[in-house]
Amino acid sequence: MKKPDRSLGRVAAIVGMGDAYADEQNVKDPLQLANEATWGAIRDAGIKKDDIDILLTGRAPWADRRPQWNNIFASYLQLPVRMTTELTFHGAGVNAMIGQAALAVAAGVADYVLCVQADAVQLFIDATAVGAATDACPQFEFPYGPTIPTIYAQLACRYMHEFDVTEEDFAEVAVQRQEWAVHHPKAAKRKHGLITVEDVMKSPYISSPLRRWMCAVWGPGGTAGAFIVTSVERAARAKNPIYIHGFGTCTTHEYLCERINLRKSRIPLGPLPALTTTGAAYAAKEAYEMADMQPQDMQLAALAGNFSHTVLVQLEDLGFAPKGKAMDLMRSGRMRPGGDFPVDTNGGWMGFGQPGISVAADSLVETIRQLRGNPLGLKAGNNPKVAMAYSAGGMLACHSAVILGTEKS
Amino acid sequence: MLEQGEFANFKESYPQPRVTQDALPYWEAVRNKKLLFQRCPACSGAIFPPRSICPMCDAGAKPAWEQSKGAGSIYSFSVVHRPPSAIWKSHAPYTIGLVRLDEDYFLFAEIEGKPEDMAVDKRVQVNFPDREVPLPTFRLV
Repeated sequence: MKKPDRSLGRVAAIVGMGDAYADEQNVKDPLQLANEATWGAIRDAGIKKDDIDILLTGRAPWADRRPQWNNIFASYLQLPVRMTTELTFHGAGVNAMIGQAALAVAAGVADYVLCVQADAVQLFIDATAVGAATDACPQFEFPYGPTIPTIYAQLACRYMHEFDVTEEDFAEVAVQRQEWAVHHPKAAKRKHGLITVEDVMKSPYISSPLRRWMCAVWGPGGTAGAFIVTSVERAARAKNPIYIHGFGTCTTHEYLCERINLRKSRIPLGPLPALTTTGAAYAAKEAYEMADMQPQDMQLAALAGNFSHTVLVQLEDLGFAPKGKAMDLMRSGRMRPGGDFPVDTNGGWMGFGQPGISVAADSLVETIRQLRGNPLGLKAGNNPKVAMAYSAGGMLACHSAVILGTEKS
Repeated sequence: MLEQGEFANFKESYPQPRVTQDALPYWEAVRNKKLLFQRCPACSGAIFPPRSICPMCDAGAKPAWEQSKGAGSIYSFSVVHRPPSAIWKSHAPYTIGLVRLDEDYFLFAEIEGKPEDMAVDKRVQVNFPDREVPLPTFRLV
């Protein structure tokens, strides 16, 4: 497989970031949220709207599923651009925008690339019903009546079986996500306060072994994140640039019934058939190689843990713990508030919540805010200078990892 | 609540499988209470979901249909306590799992039986219950 040119980790930076939020008292649709975040990013970057050459979005928001949503948004902005497209490998596409923007800058086809994503599931749609209809195979899975948790629970079942992990372990993951979430003013689960392992174990099963507290929630009401990417040369004139040190992506399948029947893969997934190693490992490896860094160089991480067990599998696949041993890292306390390796500092997808496809933008927003030292919630105690933002999409399908830092490499 | 396009109707009726051309023989067999899968004549690998060309080897061969014995074991499972929509409520709790067939391919399907009896590696056999939407399920042996 061709390896990406390592120099790509030294070409681009994020010079503008904007975020926007909605809730039931303050209803906004995805276009309004994306607009607010975009103007925030433009102001932050100190550029004019017409400086933008390329517009990237992830796939259409769940709450506004019109095809070519990226072009609808370009039109809404009255922003004629050289190129616009959606990166549609589920939620991972939102994270992958940063790498694709860096490629456009490196190729010399853009001075400024706007990457934006918004969604507002809780305010506009019944995500429990629509979710499975979207992500289950419509021929061989959806007719049996699964939800998204049911599909993900197949991995939870195998992870417990193969590595002797328990429901109480999954409960501990929820407890630690909540420790960060209670400090974030926009986190969907903030209102519930701190929880204990017993609280989690008392919550009802959604789809076993996953209990309510082990699952992300379809909130907050709405969010958006916008990011303006430019060259490191232009970034030198920006007031608070965040450098793009590395990025990597991959996708291994669409539906779970395809993934479990996969018997060989040029993207290493361990011995097949199996579910417990995902493409995150490969996406992260590419990003580390481009950045010339190791997992232990990361001083903060934002995961895409929509359930307790995906937090654990991702910690392993991203290189922070050996396979099957993420609970040791969890129990070490290093990732908690005050720890030396803060992870999911907005509460992660479980605590902050999953407002839709924009959840991956929320993780990028949190990572950039922590690197700049201005988080909305609790500040990481270790003054992080380099961080991993990872996003997953689909049913363990799509993976994107970005390494960001405050200093030019 | 905004209901959009293709998602508007599934809450009032059990969803029908969205049948692909490759899988027409599979569904025809299900109506006759038989379970089919494909095998590659070149690499002998069991193929599922159905394909028009084997994706597992470089021969580019057309897969052949075979009847499965319908016997296998539970690879993973989850008991659905909160179903996706109202129509499933009277059916819950029900178990959905990945079943590894003895012919060495996997199906994602309902596993009939008491939730407390479910366990990884337990043996199961295919079943074709009389339901509004004909689907192969499995039951504990």
